[in-house]
Amino acid sequence: MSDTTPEQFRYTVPEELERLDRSGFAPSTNALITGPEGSGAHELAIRALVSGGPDEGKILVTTQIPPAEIVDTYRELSSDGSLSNLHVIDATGLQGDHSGGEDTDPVVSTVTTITDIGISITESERLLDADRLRLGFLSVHPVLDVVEPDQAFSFLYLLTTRVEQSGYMGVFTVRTDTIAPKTIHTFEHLFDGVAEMRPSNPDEPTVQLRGFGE
Amino acid sequence: MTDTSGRTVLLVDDEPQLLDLYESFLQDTYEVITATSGTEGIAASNERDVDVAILDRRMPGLSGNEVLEELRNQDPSVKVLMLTAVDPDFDIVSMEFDSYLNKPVSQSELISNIEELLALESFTSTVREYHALLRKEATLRQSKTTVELKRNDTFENLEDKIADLEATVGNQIDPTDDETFVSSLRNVEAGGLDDE
Repeated sequence: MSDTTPEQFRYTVPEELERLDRSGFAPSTNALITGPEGSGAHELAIRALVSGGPDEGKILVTTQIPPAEIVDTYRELSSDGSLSNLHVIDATGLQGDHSGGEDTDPVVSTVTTITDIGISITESERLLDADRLRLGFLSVHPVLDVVEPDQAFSFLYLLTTRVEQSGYMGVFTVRTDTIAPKTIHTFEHLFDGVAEMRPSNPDEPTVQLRGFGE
Repeated sequence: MTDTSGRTVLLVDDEPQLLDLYESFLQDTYEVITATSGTEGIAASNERDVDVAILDRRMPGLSGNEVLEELRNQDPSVKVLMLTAVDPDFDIVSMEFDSYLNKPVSQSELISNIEELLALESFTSTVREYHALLRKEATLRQSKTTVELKRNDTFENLEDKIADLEATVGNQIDPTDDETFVSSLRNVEAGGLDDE
């Protein structure tokens, strides 16, 4: 896990996600951001994608938030409002209630199964053709509404190991108010570090990190 | 290496000579069932547990594509290898097979592909077991103190087994290979092996 490449490239990340090593994430790092609804977990995950350089590809899978909203947030958080090298995979129809809304420019695919999420990721990788890539997955909990926990775990295993073995960076979010702590603890084994959002103050949520740089 | 003992391969091809040839390739390694038509193949898969189905695409009556659909309806976890003289076209994007080989095929190539498909099944099984053990570990961590866990041999054995499985599952498939990645996801979504 998390070996650096010969050129010592590191993925830059928001400062909340850095700890001992202030120079970013090593390639192959998978991070899990946990927190209840409104904790800022999604925004932090999007910022982790936005902070990538212009030569990096970014793939964002959304299972709950409408893609147009995701894109707006991404644009707002981006210093120049650029959406370049961003592909959004709309998986909000996983639970079968997809509204068939309008496609936004960087949305490359709309999917309804976890297999199709994987197929879309491989297609996006091909289209982006970037050696360095960030995968954002917002959020894990709707997956548990359509498959059993062991299947969700296997799905995440495949995604995180693909990120790890390809030298990418992965950022996944999960809502702690909808999933049993035991399930989250089990999922945590698949990640190099966990950022736990603690919304004690809604304007300035605290982030507790476990695993990063240790 | 995947344990092939007791694995059953269903061969469906309308050309008897090819069926005989492929059967001779496989019969020392697997239990082989042959069928000369799609209808016969589906009937055979209803009667027996099939691990891997090898389908010709172009057959009179039910085509290999139709047999594939029917097999998927019957048992989404069965691994399907399309073995055909038909060059792959864009229509394969919507087809739910696990592997595709063009005829002619050598014995080693055929067995190698079957082994890869069986490895997918092993992966599903191992990752399930890995998950089940992690759930047990999480349960104990919630109910016991750190001191109690440290002193307990059973918990130590559990952690050793988790580490072993983590290493095993990591060697079973290559998730950076697109075909393996997608086939693994399809297998996971289908539920993988029957519930134990």
